[in-house]
Amino acid sequence: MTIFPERLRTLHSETPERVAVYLQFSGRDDLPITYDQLLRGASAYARVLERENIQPGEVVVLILQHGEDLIYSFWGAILNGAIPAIMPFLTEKLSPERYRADLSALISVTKPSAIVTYPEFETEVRATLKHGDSVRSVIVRDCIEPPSDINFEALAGFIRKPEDIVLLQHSSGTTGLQKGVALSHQAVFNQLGAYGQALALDDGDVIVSWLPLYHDMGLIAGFLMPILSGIPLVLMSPFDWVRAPYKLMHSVSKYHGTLTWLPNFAYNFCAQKIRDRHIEGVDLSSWRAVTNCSEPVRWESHQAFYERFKNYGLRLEVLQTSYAMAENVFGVTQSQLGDVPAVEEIDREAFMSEGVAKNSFDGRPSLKMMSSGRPLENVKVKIVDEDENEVSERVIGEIAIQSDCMLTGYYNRPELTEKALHDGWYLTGIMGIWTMVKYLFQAVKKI
Amino acid sequence: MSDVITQLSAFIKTTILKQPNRVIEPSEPLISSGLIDSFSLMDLALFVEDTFGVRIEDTELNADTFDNLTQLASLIESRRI
Repeated sequence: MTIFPERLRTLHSETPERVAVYLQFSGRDDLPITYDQLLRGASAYARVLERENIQPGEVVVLILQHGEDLIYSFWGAILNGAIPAIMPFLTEKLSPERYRADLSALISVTKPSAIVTYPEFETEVRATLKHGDSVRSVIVRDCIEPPSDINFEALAGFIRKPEDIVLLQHSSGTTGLQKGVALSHQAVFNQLGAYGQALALDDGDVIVSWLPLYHDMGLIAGFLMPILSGIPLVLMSPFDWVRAPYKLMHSVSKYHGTLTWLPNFAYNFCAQKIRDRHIEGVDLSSWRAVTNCSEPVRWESHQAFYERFKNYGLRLEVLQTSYAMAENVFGVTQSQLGDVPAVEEIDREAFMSEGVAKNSFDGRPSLKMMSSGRPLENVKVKIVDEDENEVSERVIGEIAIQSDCMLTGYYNRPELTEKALHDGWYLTGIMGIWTMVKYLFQAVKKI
Repeated sequence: MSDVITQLSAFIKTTILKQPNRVIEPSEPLISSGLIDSFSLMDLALFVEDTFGVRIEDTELNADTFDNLTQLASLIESRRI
């Protein structure tokens, strides 16, 4: 078993000039970052953290937008042995008051030692800090030295152990920001091993992503997995994607992208908003899996996406599904690549009133349920009732999981951790159903 | 109020905000205020393109290019032939 810095050192020594990330910006040329550049940039941040006396095992909150600094500071924290946690950047959608309240909530529970942000955002960050809180240092981009030689021996991150916490993942909102999912090096590598196997990940893959890195789907599938697996990542900003969703198709076409992850809404958004003239000459035939994940998956959305892009080389069997959660690092299930995910038409009334998936018969209103696939090889899944007893197939219940890639705990929240973990099983709070030889169907409601 | 502003205002009220009775002042900030979120900016750009034959690039979909109806209307006028 290894740790993140060791894996990076290996990748760097084998192929220093290989591109790790093609960073894309709207209106600017793409920026390829090799493993050598990645480690040099990260080392510069690691040195600043060391200078600020940030110790291994201390939390560093990153408040940065899409760009080199977010990437370098994340890996810089890792090389320093600190625990990075990415916080969403303030956008027009959020009021500054609300944002300050969210940041306070995060600081009060997570107790970071340092916050990394932009000079222009420093005042906003400092306004949130209180005398006597945990933050000893606000590091702004300006005080980072230029990238220079990498001295692996001097980096404190190498003393970390596989079972140590490597990063925190938060979901959004005040409650989410007070519930940091703490993951170990080992848990992440176990997930990447099992998930990579389900995807049959190989050297020929290219991952294309616009997903934000403060969310598990973006952080794991669209950032850590490619970088730690030596697979090129083409990364664009979520803000650029939302203004021009067709750029995802351009990137897939340009870099021969093979794998992408999207939340369900994005299938509809792309199908509805992209016009023919936006994607003239685009070729999507390199895509071998576009995985629908992190929201309940809809058969109708897959159909709309397929119909919209089938003339551009998209194959129906490319559209896949997964059920994932930060508490399991990421993937719990994945549909079988190369096949269309199983779809069942069930009786709507029986499902709504009794919570049972019965086959629909003629004339009665039905629901099309699309499967999220089967559990990864290292994950056990069961569906339980309120007393935590397993329910029969086709009966709705709570999804419980057990694996070797589960969270260490909710950071600084032992009471929440205890509540969520029962006899080694993590109770997800999400309803699900088994049908047809253990295909997992996620029901469209929470407990 | 110009015809362009009337059409833009009607589209924003009914389709984006889903509040047909709302009044949008020509100088009211749209983007910097968060009234129109990023997802809807794309809708607005497509509406402008379909209705007025004027293209707004995705890099221009921010408060620096236009932030109210008057500014958007003059951007459209300046690009119409």
